[in-house]
Amino acid sequence: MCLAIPAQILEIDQAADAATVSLGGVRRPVSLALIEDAEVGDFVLVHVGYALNKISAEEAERTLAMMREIGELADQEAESIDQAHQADQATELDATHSEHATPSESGR
Amino acid sequence: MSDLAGQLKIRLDTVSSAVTIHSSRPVTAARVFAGKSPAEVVRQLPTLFSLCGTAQAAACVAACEQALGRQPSAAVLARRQALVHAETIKEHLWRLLLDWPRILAATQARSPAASAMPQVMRAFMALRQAQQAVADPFTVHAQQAEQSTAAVLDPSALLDLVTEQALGTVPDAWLQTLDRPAAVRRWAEQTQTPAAGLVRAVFAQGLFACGANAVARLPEAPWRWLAESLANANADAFIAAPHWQQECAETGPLARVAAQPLIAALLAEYGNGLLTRLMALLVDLAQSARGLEATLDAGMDNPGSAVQLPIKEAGVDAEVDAGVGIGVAEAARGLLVHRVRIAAGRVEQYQILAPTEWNFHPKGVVAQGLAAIARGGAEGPELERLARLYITAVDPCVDYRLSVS
Repeated sequence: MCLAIPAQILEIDQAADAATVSLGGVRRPVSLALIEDAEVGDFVLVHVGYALNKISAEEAERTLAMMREIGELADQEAESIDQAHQADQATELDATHSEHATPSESGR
Repeated sequence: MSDLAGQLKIRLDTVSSAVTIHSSRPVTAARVFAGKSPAEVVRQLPTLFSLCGTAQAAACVAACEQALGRQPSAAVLARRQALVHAETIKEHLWRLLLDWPRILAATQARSPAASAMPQVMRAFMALRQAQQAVADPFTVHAQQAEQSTAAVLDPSALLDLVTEQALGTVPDAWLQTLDRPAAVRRWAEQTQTPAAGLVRAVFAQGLFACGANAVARLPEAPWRWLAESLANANADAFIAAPHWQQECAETGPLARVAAQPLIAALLAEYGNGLLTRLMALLVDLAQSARGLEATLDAGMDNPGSAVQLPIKEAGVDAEVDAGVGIGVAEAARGLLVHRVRIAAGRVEQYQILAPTEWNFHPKGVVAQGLAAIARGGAEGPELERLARLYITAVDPCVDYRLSVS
């Protein structure tokens, strides 16, 4: 269940053993502590701030396509949960305060 | 897209010692495989969950084979076992060389041990590539799987790193020498590896029992319970917050080696605190190294009765319906369970139960461990450091955010 996400290397900082990657269009810093021969333009799998290993552009695209599918499934699920919640709230007006994270908290 | 992997939000309230854990992990992501052919799923799934891709591949192919009524040969199974062992070695060395040193030393500076990690990755990838160059054993195509056993794999680079960076000696000798708690301190003082340095630091900082709590470990063969829970109408809730007969349970290196003499003695003396966890990681590393060697050497006939095998024969016991398969592999972080339902050559349902959901359950071993640390009286940055150490010792496979207030 540990998703590692494909990203393309935009810049490399040799001294810091780090790189900037494009992760779904967003620039993110990643550590290159696990790989030795990364170059700008390479696709790498990124997990918790580490570039794990290099992959081909085709492999990256295939994996990203599957991840988009997962994202769409999750959105559909969230929508149906939201609708269920709204229905619940309509019937339980005196419900106690929820401790669940609000949408603004759960965003990064 | 970058948030897709999810995150754990862990809150520790110092006044009440209450811990809350909220997970945004995509625990039902495996639904994406519904409608695909088993062969396609076996090919795609490990690329998606690539961090522990080998264990994922092993559980996936085992589930599909059972659902399709197929049985891999002993030689194919031995090859798969070897590759899962190799992945566990890679993951455990990552914890020992990068993660533990950073938090135990309380510094952001790169530890000298970290420089060995690219070698570990290279040795692991070289094994995987040597295997792929001949054939992939993780496939439902019997002929291709058989071909995979012809690949000659040399595990020596990875095994040498286990000795040089962790144990200081070969796994068999290490397991024999470290047979009781008193031997641990002696080994740590006489050994110059980064891992021995971690054990010395745990002694020097008096962290033996840090985080010890009463959460049980998953029993050895819970297959029937798991199969029933995953077939249940409430399976999604079980996957998000699994329990063993209504109780939280831990899975992972400590649960795997709890009966080993050294770890049993440490558990009796210090409970499931940091020293026991660090030594369990090392014992599991040594056993995985021995397992890698044995499963490659002996191949089909005799992987050695004393060797632990990460891929479990869960399906037989689980008594599932026709068309359903359960695949189980002990991944580096713990028990990984896949369940598939196949009809007319297509996957109808795919479920994955991962170790992080057991260990980071809102009332599970990390929640209880952090509460114990808070009750122990640590404050401020030291409390936060100990909390991070305990989280690392159990090891989520995902990013986490810790807030102490």
